[in-house]
Amino acid sequence: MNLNCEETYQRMQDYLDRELSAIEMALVTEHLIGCGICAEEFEFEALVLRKLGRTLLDTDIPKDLEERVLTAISNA
Amino acid sequence: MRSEIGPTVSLAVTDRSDFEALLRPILPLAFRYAVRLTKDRDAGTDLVQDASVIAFRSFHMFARDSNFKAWFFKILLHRFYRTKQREARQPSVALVDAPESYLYRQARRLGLTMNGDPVAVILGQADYQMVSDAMGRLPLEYQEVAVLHFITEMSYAECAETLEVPIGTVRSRLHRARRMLQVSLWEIAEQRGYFPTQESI
Ligand SMILES: [Zn+2]
Repeated sequence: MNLNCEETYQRMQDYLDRELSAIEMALVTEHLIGCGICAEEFEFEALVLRKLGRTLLDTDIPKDLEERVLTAISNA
Repeated sequence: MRSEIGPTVSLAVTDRSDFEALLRPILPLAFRYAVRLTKDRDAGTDLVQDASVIAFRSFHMFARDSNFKAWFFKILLHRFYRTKQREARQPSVALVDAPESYLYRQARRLGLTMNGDPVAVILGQADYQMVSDAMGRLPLEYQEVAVLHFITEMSYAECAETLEVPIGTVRSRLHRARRMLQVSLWEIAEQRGYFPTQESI
């Protein structure tokens, strides 16, 4: 079984999140190897997701967070 | 969480150290998630602290072979919603109908080169504030799953356990949240004049 572009595209988010079955992951990968159009779009989407994820992680953690939490627990 | 007002269970020292050992590694994630939910660092810190105390008092109910991270984030979310009314804000029409791969299509339409770093061209100025603002325009049930997945990298199954919704709901909300987020980012970029022009490419 081979996937066409549409079928591949429908699986993009699940593929990028590694939430497809091993067989489906392989089918999508196979399509991407042979299809530059889909590969470019997947690559772009992956870059966007990575950028957004990294940006959202860009928050300083308060130095005393752990201490505050552990103190609160020991007083609980 | 009823446990907060329930009787305090006296815990053995081993329980305390078990609890701390499980909690410590996820505190940074919990803080980032809490700040995104509350949109405020101090409120985020308080939320993490309150959730930690509630979790500690309920720790005897935690099944040791289950997922601590999902369990803790569930408590954190409950605590958040208890102190806050859900906003019934409707997203803009553009967000509701957000198409697939919006930024990619914009990049193509503007003729941005796909070599190099098209994301930097289109989202180069997307700092924490901008992404936060874009996320803030999404309905809350979409924000909570998108931020949870972005920050904690939980699987769909773990997100489902944390949010207490079916895995299919996680999947559809997450995918839709990402579509909305791309449109939302683009709208903000335009409003702030970040709009990439042909000359800047
Ligand atoms: Zn294709």
